[in-house]
Amino acid sequence: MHGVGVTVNETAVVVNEPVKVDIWSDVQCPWCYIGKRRFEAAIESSGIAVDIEYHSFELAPDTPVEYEGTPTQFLSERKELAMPQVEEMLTRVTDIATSLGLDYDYEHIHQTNTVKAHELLHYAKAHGRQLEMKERLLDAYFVKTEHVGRIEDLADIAASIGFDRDEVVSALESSEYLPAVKADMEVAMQYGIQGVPFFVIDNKYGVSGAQESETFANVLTQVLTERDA
Amino acid sequence: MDAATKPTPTFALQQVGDPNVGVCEGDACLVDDHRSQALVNRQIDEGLV
Repeated sequence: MHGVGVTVNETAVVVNEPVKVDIWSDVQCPWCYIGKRRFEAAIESSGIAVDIEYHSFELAPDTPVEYEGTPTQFLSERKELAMPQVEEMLTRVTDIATSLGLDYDYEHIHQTNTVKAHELLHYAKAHGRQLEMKERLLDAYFVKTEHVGRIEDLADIAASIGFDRDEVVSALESSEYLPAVKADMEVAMQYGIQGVPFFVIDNKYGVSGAQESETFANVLTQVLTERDA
Repeated sequence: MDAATKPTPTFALQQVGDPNVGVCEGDACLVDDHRSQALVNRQIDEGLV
């Protein structure tokens, strides 16, 4: 096991710091949820301690909150693709999600604007519970097909995992965390990030997309190997 | 995004991993068709789907 706990020998006690992992992601990005599961599998298999921080990346910031249509219609309109072609694309990603235990329900997903969801993730981070909120929001969007664009719906989602609903509504209505969302987008530009998920590991390695868990595990191991060198 | 509009990175990162995996860019979520199908085929073979 690497990077976890304390290594003891006769002369020294070495505490390995967790590997810092910064992840740019959007709530309505199907590969982000798949990538999350694969990265979690890498952590599990490698036993390497990590310190994960999620960052905001808005894939379609011009989407109306009350978009009236399915994700299939949305993609067909935006990309000028035939509906069957989009359906085939979503079927592929859904099949891969299913293989990881994620039951995407594209028939009932609410396509929307995710900026308030990103603000909520920063609110949760300020309360030390960002990872929990990230999982809840991805599950809300892809599996439970809850609306992740409206403040009232987001407040319900936050309350479902124990946050103060009124406080969440106040934070989202005041856009208190919008500057944090914009700051994440700015850093993404500085890294040259054009797609998500995007993993920055130990401020050195960039991993784009939902890579296989072995790839993530190899990078984490590489980081520890370099530390020990 | 073409070369004229592509942002120039100011923070250098060492890129690792397969460049053909699933990723979402803009409002499109892409994956190499053949690789994606190969993965699904493998999962079917393994009885996971």
